[in-house]
Formats: sequence, C-alpha cells, structure tokens
Amino acid sequence: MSGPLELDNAILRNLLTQTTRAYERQMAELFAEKELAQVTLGSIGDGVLAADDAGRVKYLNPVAEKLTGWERADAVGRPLPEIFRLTEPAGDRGIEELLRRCLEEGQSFRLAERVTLERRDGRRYAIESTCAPIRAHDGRIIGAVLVFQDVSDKRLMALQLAHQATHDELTGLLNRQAFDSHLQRALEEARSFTSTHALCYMDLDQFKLVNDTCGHLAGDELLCRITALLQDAVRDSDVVARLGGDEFAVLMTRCTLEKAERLAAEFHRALQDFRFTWRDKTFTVGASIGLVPITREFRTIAHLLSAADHACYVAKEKGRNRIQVYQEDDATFVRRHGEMNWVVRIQQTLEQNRFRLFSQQIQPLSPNAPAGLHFEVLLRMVEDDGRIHLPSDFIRAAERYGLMRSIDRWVIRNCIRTLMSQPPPFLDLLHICAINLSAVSLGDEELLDFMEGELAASGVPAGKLCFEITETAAIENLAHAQKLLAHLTAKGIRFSLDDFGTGMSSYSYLKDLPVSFLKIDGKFIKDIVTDPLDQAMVESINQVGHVMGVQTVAEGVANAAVVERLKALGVDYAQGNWISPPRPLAGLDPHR
Amino acid sequence: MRSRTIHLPGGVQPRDLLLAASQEAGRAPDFVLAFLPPAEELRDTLAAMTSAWPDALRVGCEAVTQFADGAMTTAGVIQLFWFDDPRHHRALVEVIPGTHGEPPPPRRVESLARRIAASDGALLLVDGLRFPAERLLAELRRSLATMPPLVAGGLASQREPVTRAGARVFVGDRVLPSACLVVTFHGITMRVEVVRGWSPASPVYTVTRAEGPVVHEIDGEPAVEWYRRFFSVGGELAPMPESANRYPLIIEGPRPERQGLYRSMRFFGEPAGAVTYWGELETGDHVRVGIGNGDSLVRTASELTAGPAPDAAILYSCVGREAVLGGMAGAEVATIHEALGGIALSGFFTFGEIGPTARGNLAYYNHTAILVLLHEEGA
Repeated sequence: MSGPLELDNAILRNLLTQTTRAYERQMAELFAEKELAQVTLGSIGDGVLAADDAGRVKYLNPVAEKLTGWERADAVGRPLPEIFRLTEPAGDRGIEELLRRCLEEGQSFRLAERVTLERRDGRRYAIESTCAPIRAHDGRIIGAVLVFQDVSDKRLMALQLAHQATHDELTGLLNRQAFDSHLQRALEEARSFTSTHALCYMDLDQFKLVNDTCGHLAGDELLCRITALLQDAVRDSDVVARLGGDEFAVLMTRCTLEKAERLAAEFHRALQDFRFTWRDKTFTVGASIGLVPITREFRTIAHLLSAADHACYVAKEKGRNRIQVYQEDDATFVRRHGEMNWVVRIQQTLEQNRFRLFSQQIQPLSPNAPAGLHFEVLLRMVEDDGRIHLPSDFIRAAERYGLMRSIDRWVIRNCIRTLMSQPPPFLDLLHICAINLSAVSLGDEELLDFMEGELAASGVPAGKLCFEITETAAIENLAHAQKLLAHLTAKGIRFSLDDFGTGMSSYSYLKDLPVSFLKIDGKFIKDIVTDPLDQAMVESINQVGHVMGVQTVAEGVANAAVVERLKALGVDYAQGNWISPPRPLAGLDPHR
Repeated sequence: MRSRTIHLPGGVQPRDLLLAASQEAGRAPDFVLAFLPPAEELRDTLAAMTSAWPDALRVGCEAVTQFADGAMTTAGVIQLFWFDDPRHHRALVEVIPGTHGEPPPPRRVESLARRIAASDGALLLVDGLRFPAERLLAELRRSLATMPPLVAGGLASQREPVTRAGARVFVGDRVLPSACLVVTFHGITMRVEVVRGWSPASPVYTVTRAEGPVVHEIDGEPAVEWYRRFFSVGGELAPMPESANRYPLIIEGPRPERQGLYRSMRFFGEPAGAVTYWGELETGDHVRVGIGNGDSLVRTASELTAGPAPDAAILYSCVGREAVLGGMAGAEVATIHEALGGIALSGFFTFGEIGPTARGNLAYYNHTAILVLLHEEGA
C-alpha cells in the first residue's frame, strides 16, 4: 500500500470518478427526461407556451408556433402578451393582468369563453386556454404555462347549432320558438305600459296552388321570395318569423297600430305587384293578414297568437288577400273567435271526456295475410250540441297550442280500455289495433312509462297494438323515435309508417326504424289505375317494403278497380271508406 | 458565574494542589467537572477531590485526551464552577444506571424527560462503550413532545483496545459502570455550537438496508463493496476503518432532523459484508462521503463567534476528528479557546457527541466538536 499522501490522492481520485459517473448518469437521465418531455410537448395537440417569472416567453411547442404564428427562435425572450395576443373579451391588458396574478399570486385560471387569439399575421382563432404557475421543487414560482386549443370549428358549430335551433332552415327567418321569446318580451313591455307593439300574422293564399302544381321545390322557392319581400318591407327593428308552412309573422316593435297598418299595407302592395314564375307558369300571390295591437289585455302568447290567427281567418273569410285588424267587439270576429277557439274547446272536450274513438278496418289483399281483425283507430270530437268534428278541424290548433300530448294519451288510454271492455272472444280475434301517434308524443320521454303503465293495468297483449307515425314526424325526431321504437318493439308493439310518400320518402330512414307496416298515402292510390307514375311509385314502395320485410297498406282505396290493381302489385292490405267506413270502436264486430 | 480549570500533573493528585486551585475564590466551588484519564490513579484523584470539596457536586468521566483551556493534555483536567447565586442557581445530577445495553424503562425516561424539560439545559456524560446512548436519546425525543431545553454532552472515551471495562462516568468518588449522568442546570443558560468542517465529496447515495449501527447495503450493494468504490487503491483496499474515518459519512436526509449528522466507522466487514458505525443509520438515509482535513477543521473552529459573553465552556470533540487533525489537534482547541476570549474551558476527545441539529434536538453525532457555553442568569 502507498504512503498516506498517495492514499489520500487515490481516494480523492476515486471520489472524483464516482462523482463524475453519477453526474454523467444524472445528466443522461435528465437529458432523457427532457427529451421525453419535449417530444411529449411537441406531440400533443394543444398549444403550450411557457414564460419565465418575468413573463417572457421561454418555450413554444409546434402547435403554439402554428397558432401564434411565431417561431420559437423569434418568440423566446419576448413578453408573453406580445406573442399571445388576445382580442375581446380578455384583450392585451387582460392577459397581462392574468399573467401577473399567476406569477405573483400563484393563481391558476381558465380564460374567459369566446376569447380569440390573434396570430402574428392577423388571422384569428377562437381558443380555450388555461394558465397555471410553474413552481420549482421548493414551491417558488419560476414561470407560467399557457395551454390552449383552437376551438374555432367547435365554436362555429355551436353558433350554427344555436342558429339552427332558433331559425327556420329554409328561409333563415326566426322559427316559432325563437319568435315566442320576442313576443313574450313585447307582451311584458305592453303590460308595464313601457312600449307599444303590434303583431302581424299572415297566411299566403296561393301557396298550396303553387306547391300542388309545381311541386315542393317551387313552393320552397316561393317562400324564400316572399321572405325577401317581407324583409324589404319591414323596419330593421321588426322581428320576422316563419311559423310553419306558409304562415309568417312580424313583430313590429315600438309601433302604433296606425303605423303597423301602413307597414302591412306597404307589404301587401308589394305582394300585389309580385309575380312568381316557375318554368312556364306565372302566379300572383296574395296574403291574408291579421294585425293585432299588443296590449296588456293579452295575458299569454297563446292568447295573442290566437287573436292574430283569428284576425287572419276573418281576412280569409272576407275574401282573402286583405288586411284585417283585430277588433274585440267585431261581431263577426267575436263569432269566429268563439268558433275557432279550439284550444278552449279541446281542453273542455278532454275534461268532459267528449272525444270519441272510431275504427276503420284494414283489409288483407293476400290470402296469405294473417287472419284476424285489423283496424286503425280514428278520433272524433263531439261538441255539446252533438256536432262531430274530424281531426283535420282541430289537430292544427292542438299542435300549435301543445295539446297533442294530452290527446294522444287520451286516445291510448281509452283505446286500450275499450279493447278490454269488449266481450270475448274480441281480444282473441283481434290481430292489430293501430293507433296514431303524433310527432310530439314521439319526442315525449315519459310516453314509455305511460305505455307500460297502461298495458300493465289493462292486460291487453302488447302484440295486438301498433302505433302509426308519419315519416315526417319520425325523421324530425329520429333519435327519440329510434329509442321509443326500440323500447316498444322489444315489448311486442308494432309500428306503421303512415302517409308514406308524402314527406321525405327516403328509403334510407326505413333501415333506422323497425316498422312493420308502410302505409302508402292515398294520393298515390287514388289514380293508380290511370296514372302510370302513381302506379310506379306504389310498386316501388311496395317492393322496397317487402325487401325490408315490411308489409304495405294502401290508404284511400275508393273502388274495386284500385283493389284489383293493388292485388296485382302485391300490396298486402287496403284501407279506405269504400272498403269499410269508420265505425264507433266500442261497437266493433270482430266477425265482420 | 466564575470558572477555572486545573491542569492536572500526571500521577496521584495531591489534595493540597486542588485546595490551592480553589483558594482564590474564597470558597469551595459549587460544581466540579472532571475529565480524567482511564488510569489506576482515577479513584485516588476522585478521593482527593472529595476531600478537597466534599460539598460540591462532582461529576465527570474517563477521557483519553483532555482539553484544559487552550491546551491538550492526557493527564486530566478539572473545571471548577462558582455560581454567583448558589442559593437559587444550581446544577443537579441524575444517574441512569447501566441496563445491560437496553435503554432505561419508559417510566424512567419520562421522569428524566420531565426533569430536563424543567431545567435550563442539560449535560449528558455517558459510558462510551456500554451504555446505549443513542437509544436513550431516541426515547427522550419521543417523551419530550415539544422542543426541550438544549441538551449536549459526550461519550467517555477509552484507550485502544477498547475491550476493557468500558468508558466510565463518575459522581463524587463513585465510579459507575455502564452508566449515564444527566446534569441539569437551573439558572444557568446553555448555548451549543456544533463545529463541523466537513464538505460533501461524493454523490448522494441511499442506505438500502441498515439495522442500528450496522449498515448492510448502500445503493443496493453490500456496504463493504460500496466502500471499495472509494477506498480501493491499485486493486487493494486501504486500511479500514482508519481510512474511512478520515472521510465520514454525512447524512443528508430525507428526514430533516437527521440532516447534518455524521457517522464514523467502527468496524469494516463486521458482520460479513456490512459496516458498523459508532452511531446508528436508518434504511432510507441519504448519505454522502465527507471530506476535510486539519486545515478545514481548524478553520471552522476559528469561525466561531463567542456571542453573548459566556462564563465557561465545555468542548466535546470526536476522536474521529482527532485522527484527522493529527498534529493539528491542539490547534483546534487553542483556536476555539482564543475565539471565546480565553474563558475557562475543559473537555475531551469523545467516542460520540450529543447536541442539537438545525431541525431537531438530542442528536447523536460523530466527527464534530460540540461546544457548550454556560452563562449564569442575572450575574
């Protein structure tokens, strides 16, 4: 062994070697960690921007470079607000203040919604961002890190969705729901005497003619042209909406009745001068216009709209294409008001249980069709004086004033009870009882529970029931409809797609809806013997239906020749007054 | 408080010498502290002290090398203390008898803890070979819930080979085997300085298996292999534990109260593959190899500041330091004595020091010098 000095030198060399090795190992580990961190930061889809404790940029990842428009080499060392430039609502001063709070007070925060990042070249991005302090191992704040994402697409989509939710897709005007909120505000102002407003309600007189003679495309085009005319006629402050079909409404804000009349007359004149040309046809278009001063006497929007509707109706009654100002003491109007106040009458009918159920038999055309009674349940309203109304008289009002849900439930409950009350062997002989279900009920999440409750209480086998839904209603509420159909078909209940051919007529939807029957609209059946196009349509629907395992029902069958043609085409069932006129459900003879 | 030291000559101590040394105060001292060489004359010296100052509290321990003011001696040193207000200010002693290597029973520790807590400071003199000093300190730490008054002290030392009767303590003329003396001060304030002088010279390693003072593994390998990394020269292992004791182990945490403790090696390769230290290590301790030399140790001593003027000083310096200081051992105590303005100082090279750490109290050290500074309140 060497002397003490050499020994110490050797030990010192060993210490140095060990220290160097450990240092190299730690450096390698740190380098690997740093590499991993940088690769991670470089790979993530969010922008990451780090600043030192003086608020100067230390690091940007590639996404941050892209979104800010600054390359790392240029950005490093510059004040963060210069690189991360925000416009409304945070603004440059905003980010400075937030950064200060982050660095001095150690606060983390999320930037306000709708904040926009302005790139170096002026391009703007909607972003979402968070900012948090970076702390050293001893807890000291040594900087801040901003993490942000480009949410331009997301925000645009949200705006589009919000727009879609409040606007009519065809015309771009406000829809009924959005218009209601404007009406509500106007009504509240009227009640507090702060403002005077007027409501103009109009129904085009020639729309049905255009639609029927030139088709839906022409009808749509007409609606768009009328929209343009209307928008030209009204003031910027007025609110225009399409309430549905050919019905439009204008809320004339801060407008006396006289002024409203002048504006309505102006539009009416413009409409008189307007000619709608579609291919070789030219139409004049008129409008029946109801005008209502919005006063504190109107308690609800429904009340107000009802008044406008009635004024419009009076205009029609007086010969169409005119303006009718609502007058409470107008004898004609009062009478109409009484007659047309369907809302009150529907409610009374429900309360007094004066609806009646009828049935119309659906006859099998094929000898192979299942045996048993097959019918559609029909609804009738019976007045105090015994007059009977068809659904076409009141359904529109019921839909408009939110009464369809109650009507549907009344029908389901009373239909099931009537079936149960029939003497044996009625239920055994029953094959299908078809009940109409409205679009509103199709979107009613509580209907399922209601149905289950009614079936359980009655004991009617679910397999005897079939719900008829229109293809338009199903497609408008596709998600809800699929859910409802899935649940109810699982219980054995069947579904018919009603009025098929009049709506979207898209076969692709059939794949999404587990229906058992396709009911071909009567307008294709009526002239099937003479119109080859109608025959081709029916043949097509029938073939597609069969390919998909769906049975077909022809509606509106009016004579024996039609029946024979339907049999020849292979249609499974026929329905119509010629085959079997509606009869009261309670007295239905299962042997007929 | 007044204090002076008596530099003893070798051999039997004449009673007259002791009496003469205390004449100048005009009365017998109130408290007598003696660090005496482990020799056959020990009992005679104690008898002479009893004869000279029968009413004084007399305590001390065996020590191979002692300090007397700024000088180093092997003939023994006695330090005399006269309290200005002996009616109210005093030193009391409690004897913790030997317990065959086990710490005292809990009730005894609790009683001791209460006594220390009621004092202004305490000195511990412990049999350096047979009394489980470190375990007593651990028990006391548990019993003293709040920060206790300062406690400092040292372990009596013995000549090599240390296989004899131990390194003993004494009270009056009784020499106690395997015992610990606890001297509590009342009206006497204590200040304690830990003199270090070592610098970390290696990366940080983790003790991966330890039991008491025996370390089996460091950094996942047998402790002896770990030591070979540093102490192999030309393929041969340097003499152990002497070489390792010039490079003490520095504890760097992770427990804050253990930061800054040093450990000296006692046995290398005993038990096989392991290393035994003079103090305990814990599994999970972060350790580094320390480096220092005579210059760095003396320089640290010179950086001491006396602070509020003390009346007397007691120095417990580790035998491990003595090995490193070599010919400069005398320089350290002289430097400290000078830094303190020449006040009376006694002490010895100890088998282990007791003092506070930056984040705790009642710590057991190796390789440091614990300096106790005493001052009588209101004097």
